[in-house]
Amino acid sequence: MAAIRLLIFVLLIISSCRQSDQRGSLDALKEVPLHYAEGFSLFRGENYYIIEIIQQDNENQRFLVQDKQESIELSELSIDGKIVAGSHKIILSATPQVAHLDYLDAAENLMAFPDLDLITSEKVRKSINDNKIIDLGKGPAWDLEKIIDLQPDWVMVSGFGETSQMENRLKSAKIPVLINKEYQEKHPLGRAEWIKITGVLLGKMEKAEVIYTEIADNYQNALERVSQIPSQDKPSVLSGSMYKDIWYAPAKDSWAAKIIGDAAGQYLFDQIEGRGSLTLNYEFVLDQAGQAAYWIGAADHTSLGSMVDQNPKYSDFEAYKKKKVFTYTLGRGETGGYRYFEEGYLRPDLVLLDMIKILHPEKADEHQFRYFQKLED
Amino acid sequence: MTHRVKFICCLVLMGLLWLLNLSLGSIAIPLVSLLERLAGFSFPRESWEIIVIDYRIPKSLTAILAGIGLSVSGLQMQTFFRNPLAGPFVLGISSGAGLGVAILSMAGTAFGWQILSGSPNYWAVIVASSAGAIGVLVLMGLAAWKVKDSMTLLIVGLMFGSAASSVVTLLSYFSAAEELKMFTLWSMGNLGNTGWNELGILTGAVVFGLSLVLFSVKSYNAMLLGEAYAKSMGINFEKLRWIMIVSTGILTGGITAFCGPIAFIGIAVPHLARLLFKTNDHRILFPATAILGILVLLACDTIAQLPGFATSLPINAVTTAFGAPLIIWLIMKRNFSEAF
Repeated sequence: MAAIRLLIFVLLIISSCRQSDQRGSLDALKEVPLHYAEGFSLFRGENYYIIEIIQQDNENQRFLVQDKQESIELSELSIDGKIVAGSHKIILSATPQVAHLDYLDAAENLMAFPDLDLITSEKVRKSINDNKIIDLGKGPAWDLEKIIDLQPDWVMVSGFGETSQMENRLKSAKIPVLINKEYQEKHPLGRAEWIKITGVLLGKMEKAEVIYTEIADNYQNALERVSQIPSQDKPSVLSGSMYKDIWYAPAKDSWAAKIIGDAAGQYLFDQIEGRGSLTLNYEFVLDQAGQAAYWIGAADHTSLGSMVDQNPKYSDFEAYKKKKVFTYTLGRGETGGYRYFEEGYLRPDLVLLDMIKILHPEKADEHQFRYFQKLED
Repeated sequence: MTHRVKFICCLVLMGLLWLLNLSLGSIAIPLVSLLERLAGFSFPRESWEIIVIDYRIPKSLTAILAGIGLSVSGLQMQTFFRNPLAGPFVLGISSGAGLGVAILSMAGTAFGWQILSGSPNYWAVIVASSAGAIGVLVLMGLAAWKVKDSMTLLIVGLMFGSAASSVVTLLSYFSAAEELKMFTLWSMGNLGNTGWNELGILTGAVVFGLSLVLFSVKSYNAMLLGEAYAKSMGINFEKLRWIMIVSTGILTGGITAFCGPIAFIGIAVPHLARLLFKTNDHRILFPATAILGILVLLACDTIAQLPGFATSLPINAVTTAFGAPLIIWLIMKRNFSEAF
């Protein structure tokens, strides 16, 4: 028994030493300052970057991105993949990641994507129409054999659900898998900052910095336009949509709720704790938000008529009766995808300006709606 | 206690539960305000008017109709098949309805068909569900015409159900997350989606289904002693079989179209009725089952509203949480073979 205890003790010490060693060797590098993102860190070595993506249980992912092909040995740091920065053949899994390629002028790097119909970017759509991008299909499970056969330089997947098995399988085929957790960022500008990871990988970090700085400045400028509005002049805002008698709405800490608040709107469900999405009862919503002045984000409806066709209860709301319903169905790709779900997460500044134009039109006179539109009959 | 006293108790309890159901919810509306509204005064808050008149009352009436329909169908099935585990859905009605809704909501992406763009239309779901239920009913009719033995019919019904489920599984596998969620929500059952117009149709279906039962109460009593005995008593077995298929088909098909497949009520409530009323006479059992069905579903709906919380639970989670322990308790407590 004593021997076992001793063994456990020794193992614990060894593992804690390893952890601190790794931190130590990262601290020796120069950390690239980030403004809002909390889900990843960037470190600059002599001629390489280390990307560290925060994952659960301290199992952070680390990737070594070299400026050019040479042998770099980082003896103390465990690395999940080595990538030489530059033009690549890559596989992405979600539309916000595709927007990064568009902005970095790197659309030609994309070799495969699940469900190509969702993509709206004109540059990427051109490659699709030239049959340069492979459709990985809509099924829920990735076709790993196909991915291994395609031999991409790296794969980026969204970190929803179970990814570890896929990561391990592809790792054994020497294909780095980056698990993207941008959806967990609390601040809209934190989510946009993930373009820097794509920038580092494609050797376009400087361009990514320029793009990001412009977006962040633009966001701050938009914020200043409405910063003087006193709280009694902030209109009440309802959001979300209903299926049967259950209402789904963005939670207080979600991306959309944050931008509504920044646009000097008073989001009505911000007393309820939670991140991501709320599940509310119809009568609660009607009682709290029946009189709301605006309704922003009414699922993918395109007209007021189609809303009541789907659920007659929508017409009980004051915002509906006064035709103050706005949703993100303005920009659509040629195959039906929404621009908002692709570019919107990278351009919170434009989303914010759209919302300011809805709530305080006089503060955003010159701005043209980019994602949101007013629903008519 | 005589049956009469028991019925009166149940009716009083039903009235109280109904008022409680109207008063409790995410928004607590005091009973006093409800009674004042009944007397012609208006509610202190405008939104209460919509909540009570256009939402809670239709919802409670839906619970009442579904409670009657499902439990009476369950009793018919249990007696006809002389099987304590039979329920309103053994003939595959809910699987058929599920298949209809699954095709409507998920086949679009799975096969690249463009049946409907965006979220399915309110009435389209009801029509798809009814079409699925009617489809299975027609198939069962053909099977019943061919197969004379009731046990074989039960097995054929289960097989139809499984076949429909396998298609649904396939559709779910290939469908997009959003559509899958919609279908999953549909399959959890929902009482709060019926407006006044729909309620009219549902009432028609339930009344028609129940009136068929009225004509065959005596035949059901004879069925308890077996097919051969029933036939020797001069019961027209063929006719009873068709009445059973059409009546349960219309009752459960109609309810499933508007509320989704509501679980467990149909199996559990007839047992509860036999236990409380201690009889096998269907002249007592049918009304007893109907009224207990109302009580149980109203109670489940009141719990599902989660009084005081901003959210509510899916009705099936509550009926099953209630139904499963009841069935286990019954199995432990009494000897089923006596009743069948």
